[in-house]
This record gives sequence, structure tokens and C-alpha cells, in this order.
Amino acid sequence: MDSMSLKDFAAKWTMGLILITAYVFLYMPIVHILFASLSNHPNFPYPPNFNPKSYVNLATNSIYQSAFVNSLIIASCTAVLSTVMGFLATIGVLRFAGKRALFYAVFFAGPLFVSEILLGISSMSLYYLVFGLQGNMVTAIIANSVHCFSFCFLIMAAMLYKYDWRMNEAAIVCGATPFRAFLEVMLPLTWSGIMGSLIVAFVLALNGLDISFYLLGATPTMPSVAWGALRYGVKPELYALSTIINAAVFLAIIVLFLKARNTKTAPV
Amino acid sequence: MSEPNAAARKRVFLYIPTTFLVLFFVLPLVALVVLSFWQTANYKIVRDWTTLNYVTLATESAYIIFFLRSLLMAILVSVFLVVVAWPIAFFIVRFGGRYKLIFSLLLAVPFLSGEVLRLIALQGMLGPTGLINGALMRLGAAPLRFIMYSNSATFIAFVYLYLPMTVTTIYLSLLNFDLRLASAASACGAGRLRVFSEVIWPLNLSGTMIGFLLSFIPTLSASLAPRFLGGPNGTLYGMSMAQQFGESGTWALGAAMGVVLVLFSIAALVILSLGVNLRRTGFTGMER
Amino acid sequence: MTDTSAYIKIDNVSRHYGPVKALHNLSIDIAKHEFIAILGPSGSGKSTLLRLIAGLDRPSEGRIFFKGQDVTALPPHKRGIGMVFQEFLLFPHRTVRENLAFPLRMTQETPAKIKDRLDWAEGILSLNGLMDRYPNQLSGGQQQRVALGRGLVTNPTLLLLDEPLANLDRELRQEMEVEIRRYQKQLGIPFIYVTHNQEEALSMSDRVAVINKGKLEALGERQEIYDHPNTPFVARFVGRATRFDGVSDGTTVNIPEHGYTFSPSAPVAAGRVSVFVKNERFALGASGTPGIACKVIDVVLRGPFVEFILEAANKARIIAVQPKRPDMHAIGAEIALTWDANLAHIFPAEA
Repeated sequence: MDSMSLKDFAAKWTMGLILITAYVFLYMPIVHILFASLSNHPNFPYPPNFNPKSYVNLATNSIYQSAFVNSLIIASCTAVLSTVMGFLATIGVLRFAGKRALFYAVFFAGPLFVSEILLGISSMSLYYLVFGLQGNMVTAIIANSVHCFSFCFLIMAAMLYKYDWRMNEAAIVCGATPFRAFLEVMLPLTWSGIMGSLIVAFVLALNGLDISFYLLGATPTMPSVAWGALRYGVKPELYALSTIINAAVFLAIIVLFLKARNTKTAPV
Repeated sequence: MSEPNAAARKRVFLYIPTTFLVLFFVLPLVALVVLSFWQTANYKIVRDWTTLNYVTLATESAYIIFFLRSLLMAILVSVFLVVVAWPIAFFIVRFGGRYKLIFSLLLAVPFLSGEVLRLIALQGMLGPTGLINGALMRLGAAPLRFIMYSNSATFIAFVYLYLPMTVTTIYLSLLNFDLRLASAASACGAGRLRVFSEVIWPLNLSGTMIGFLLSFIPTLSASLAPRFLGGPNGTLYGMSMAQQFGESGTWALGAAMGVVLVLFSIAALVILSLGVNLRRTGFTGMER
Repeated sequence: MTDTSAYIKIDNVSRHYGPVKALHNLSIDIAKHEFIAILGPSGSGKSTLLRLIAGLDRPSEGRIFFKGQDVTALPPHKRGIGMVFQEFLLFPHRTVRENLAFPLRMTQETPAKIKDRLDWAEGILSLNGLMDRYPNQLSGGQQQRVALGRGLVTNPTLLLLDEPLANLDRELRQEMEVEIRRYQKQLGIPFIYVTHNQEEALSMSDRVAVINKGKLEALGERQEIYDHPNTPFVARFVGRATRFDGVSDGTTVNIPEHGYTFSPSAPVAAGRVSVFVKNERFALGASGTPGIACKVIDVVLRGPFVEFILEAANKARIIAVQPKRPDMHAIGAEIALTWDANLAHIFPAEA
């Protein structure tokens, strides 16, 4: 028995060690560039010091400003479009697909299995090379939405799978119209899934390069400007940009997490 | 809720997203195939049907090498990721307790900051002036050459890019797996290895396959990581494809490369799903 | 022209899902003040009937009238009904007070009226001190009462109950049975109560409608349904009964497998018959007297009753229920099983 528990102990800590290594591997670069963005010596910022110069450079750089606005537009529109589509798809699969549920689910997850660059290139082929259409914000938003759609679908499906649809019926027999039942009962109960879908789609579209790159031509977005700047070497401004984005993503996830936990402890 | 009404709802909920995907996902892929059978000359498209692009891809050794290198890279990266992701996911599910969600979110979050910014961060570690080599040189040691502009650097980058995705997929699979089945198996007298190989692994095989594919497919057609980190001998197929659409302006050839990548992605999907018997992986259908 | 004077009239209603007939030509008239149980096994169509009355589903044929008004085409939220679900389906993000106020808000009641009705519900359902809790902070019985309150708070035309006690434990269930019946008598509106549990149906209702395979098998006073089943299905499903295959010669019935013959009180058409005897109507006589010779192989105590598991000569198992007595038969005892011929239900054998 003793040797068994020793083996269990060893297995547990080997796995734990791999987990810790993974965290270090994933977060060391992020933390490193946080220091680098704030340092006078971006290459080796230890001991760390505090110099906001790179952030000031970033904020005053007009290319980054217009890129930021473009990215924001693309990301917001993509988040809404892909979440709406994903929501329809989720309800369709869970409620109305019947025996074809698996078929539709696989189809709706399809874009997940085509890489971003192929989505970008194939969309460009269709719009530009076949129809002669120039790339623009609309096509970029649509192509990004296709990519994010599958994520939105899976996130909301995971949430709505647990939802008891008879809740809507309960509201309707209480005298609510179907729309009111959706608004007052279903939406609040599934809000964390919908919010998660919006945030993930927004962030993916904000930071994805491949799709926007092939569909926007010369219009700058944040990832494309960052990618362009890389040709001239990594600059502290890029570290600053990356740090800001990382911080924003973290903030969004923390808000979502706390919100999901709150709705779990009191109601539900 | 009567039949005609239900049919109308069904149309809205299934047909709108289906139409959306057909128009903007399937149709572009069809356009890619069409384009791959045309020609490009002097940055113009010549709408003559030809298989020349595919002949070029099948005969020119450079393309064959790029492709084999991509394939090897994708297999190595995905196998490595599955091997590493399993113990991580298992640890979180088995020992995470009430912090499971935090553990898994912390692994998934870096995925969201995007390929470009993540590569920039990684280069801050691996590059010639990066943290690792900077530290080594400060200690008076020789810099590690294999992590600068090489296929190993690209490999590390892929692992860095797709680790969150693979772990999350396997984590979700294990989360929906009833760990008491493992206890039931050990109560039946199965040893640790038998429990894993006869119960835990087969019941999570489909999740593992999806995790494998979600790193395999983007690695196979990746262009940014090799371009940035791969160095002179690090050209991968996707990177070459991107160049056809960019500098060289040979779109039709690039489209053919895209078709090759899509076909191989589908082939990987089919091969892996043929290896998975859904019933034997505990799949019980969508209906509750 | 159909007579629509009944308070609730279900007139020749059918519901088909493609080729599947969930309900077939079903008619029931329900009076005000009436507690009616709809009893049937799962898949019998009883829940479909409830959904049709609620308006959550529409009949393929037939009409439904509330107080003489045709509501067949009305959506549920315009029917003025209350409904209680098996899983209660309280809104988890709303407090008890908000759950109870929900139907009132939907009908645009004034705040004063809402407060009035909430006070009424709080009082009648003894929800004092629970009004600001969330549903997950309530016990099963409390959730049940809130669900009832949400169904009743708007003074509905009728209350539909879809197996509302199935998720409660036995003791609580019996308590709630009495309580629900009391509310119904107090409010004087029809309660339509769907269940697969015949004990529930019999303990609460005035009349019982038995549904099987989408058809109305029987509709009548509960005592009538229990004592005088009109079809083999009702005989088997209401109460616990044992079936014997017999042969009738017109005046006597012989049960060949046990070699037992008895004379029914009324003549029975000659031919093969099915004989149903309620388990509590068996008599256990001394071994050697006329009857089916059996051996007691087990004795199960069920509170005031005892279940004797009997084995006949041909190894068939029969269960007989008797009041508990100090001098009852022990395991291994040999007995002769008989029954009062008046209380056996005899039907021509089912094809």
C-alpha cells in the first residue's frame, strides 16, 4: 500500500510540475515584455525600472491611433455579428435540428478546422479575384465573423445546453409573450455565455492578423501595423502595445469570471 | 408552436447561420479551388483552365520540401502538445477542486492576445537580444544558437501559440468525463495503467483528437511564425503560400497551395475520425 | 353546434405528430369547483393534453373552450391560466417575491393590486419570511408552494399541474397532496392534475380520467374508477391487481393454470377471459380449503399493511396485501388463495 501511495504522490507531483512549467512558459514572455516596455533597457530590463516613454510614443503615434480605431470597429462589429449568428445556430441545433443536430453542429464548427490564413486567402479569392471587389471593412468583418462564429457557437452551446427550455414556457403560461419570456427569463439566465461569446469574438478579431490582412489591403489595423513594424526590429512601443492588450484581455476575463460567479452564488 | 409555426422558427434558427456559412465560408473555399485551376501572369489573372499549378507543386523540389517540412512540423508539434496537455488537463480536473475554472482560464487566456503580439513576446525571450541569451551572455556563457532563427525556434513558437487551445480542449473533454468510472475500474481490480488505457484514454479519445487537430491544422498552414522565427532554412508551406499572394503575385499558384492545405486538413480530420468509434468513446448523441 | 356550457370543455381533440397519434378524439367536460386527475403511464399522451389546454401546443383537430369561449387558437399568455411544473421551474435569478409578482406584472396590474395579491399568496401558502430568498435557498416543499403561488396569484380560470409532486420525497408528497386539495376547495377553480401515480390521482381528485395510448380509457368518480373499472387497462393500472387467464362457460370461470374455478356474481359471456383481482382483495385461507394452493416465500412489511409474496404450484408469483395483524402467516407457510367473486373484474381476453 505504501508503494502505491508513493506512486500516486509521484504521479500527482509530476503532473503538477508540468502544469507549473506550462504556466511559466506561457507567462514569462508576457511578464518579460511588461518589464521591457517600462524599462530604459528593453533588451534586459533587470532590475526593473519605470519609464512610461514607450507608452507615450505609442499613444502619440498617429498610425497606431488610426489602426486602433479600425481594429476597434472591426472587433465590435465582428463580436456582434458572430454572436448573433452563433446564438441563432445554437438555438437551431439544440431546439430545432432534431436528428440532424450532429450534422449541423459539425458544420457550424467547421471554420474551426480551416486555419485563419486559409479563411483570409479564400475570402480574398472570392471577393477580389473572382468578383473584382476591393477589400474593405465590411468584407474584413464578415470574414472575421466566420472565424469567430465557431467559437461563439461552441461557447454559447456549452451554456445553453444546460438551460431548461421549459423556463420559457413557465414564463409564457405566467402571461409573458414569447419575446418577454426571452428578455426577462432566458437572457438573464444565459447572459454569461452570451457575454463570453462577445468578449472572445471581440478579442480574437481585435488581435487576429491573417484574416484582416488579406481583406483590408492598405487599411491599417493594430496587428498589421505591429507586424509591419517588426520588419524594422522589435521596438519598445510594440512591447507596450502588447502589454496593453494583455492587460485588457485579463481585465475582460476577470470581469466575466466575477460576473459568472456572482450569478452562480446568489441566484441560480 | 403549432407545426407551421415551428417550421418557420426552424427556418430562421438553422437557415440564417447556414446561409451565412455557405456564402462566406463554403463559397470562398470554392472560389479558392476555381482560382487554383486558373493562371496568373504579370500580376493578372488569366481565366484559362489548367492544372499547371498542381503540376508545379508536385514536381518542384522546393515546394515538396516545404510541404514535407510543414507536415513533419505539424505532426511533431501536435503530438508534443497532446503529450504535454494531457497531464496538465488531468491534474486540473483531478486536483483543481474549486479552483478548476481559474486554473483552466489562466491557461486559455494567453490565446486571446493574438498571434502577432504573442510572437513578439516570445521573440523577447528567444531572440539574439532576448532574455535567455541575454542572461546567458551576462553569465559569460555562449548564447544558445538553436533557439534563434531556426526550425527549433519555430517549433517552440507553435507550442507556445497552441498550447492553450490543446489543453482547453482536453480539459473540457476530461471535465465531462465521470472520474468515478476510473474508480469503478480500479475497484474491478485494474491497475493504474489499465485504468488509463482501458477507461480514461478511450473515453476521452474524441476530445483528444479535436485537440490534436486544433493544433495540427493551423501549424500545417502557418505563415507568421516561420517567417518571423524560422530563419533561412525554416520556410514552411503556409509561409510560401502567403508569399505567392504577396510579393510574387502568383495568386493562382498560391490558391493551389491553399487547396492542398485544405485537402490535407480534411484528410487529417477524416483519418482521425475514422479511428474514433463514437459509441466506444462514450458519445451518446445530442439529445438529452 | 356543440354544447359549450361546461366550464372547461375539451371537444374531440386530437394531436398528431406526423404519423404518431399522441392524442386521439378526446373529449372531457370539466365543471367549476372540480379537481380532475389525468392518469396515465408515461407516453400515454397525458402531458400532451395538458400542453394543449395550456396552449403550449395546438390540437391537430378539435376545439377547447374556457367558460364557453373558444380558446383553441389563443396563445398561452392570453388564456388566463396558471400552471405548475414538475421541476417547479422557478426563475432562479428572481426572489420568491419577484417570482410571484411576475405573472401580475405580465397582466399590467397596478402596484397596489400586486402588493395585495402578494400578501394574499404569502398568507395562504405560509411563505412568511421566505419572500426575499432565492429559489435555490428554499427546500423542495417551499419551492413547491412558491410554484403553486405563482400559478394561483393571478386568479386564473383554472390551474394545470404537471406531476408537481414527482420530485418530492414520499412524506412531503403526502403532506402536499392534502394541501393542494385544500387550496382547490378554497379557491373553487378547476385543478387539472396530470400524474402517472395512481395513488396521487385517487387521493386528491374528484374525478379521474385514465388515458392510455392517446385515448380516454375511463372518466369517472375516483371510487367508481377504482371499484368498477370498465376496461382491462383501467383494472390493471388503477390500484395494484393480479391478472389471471381464465375460461368462462357462462356461469363459472376456470383458471386452468391454477386449477381453480369460481362463480362470478353476474353471468360472463363464454370464452377466454382475463380476471383481475386487486391485491388487497385476496383472502388467505388455511391450507387444504378450496383455493389456489400457495406457499408464502417472503413477507414485506409496509407500515400498516403486509405484502405476502406467494408462489403457486406452477411457480407463478402472486402478491397479496393484507392489513397487518399479530397472527399473520410466516415465511414458508402453506395457504389457499381465494377472492370474493363479486370483487373480481372479468373481461373478454385481450387479443
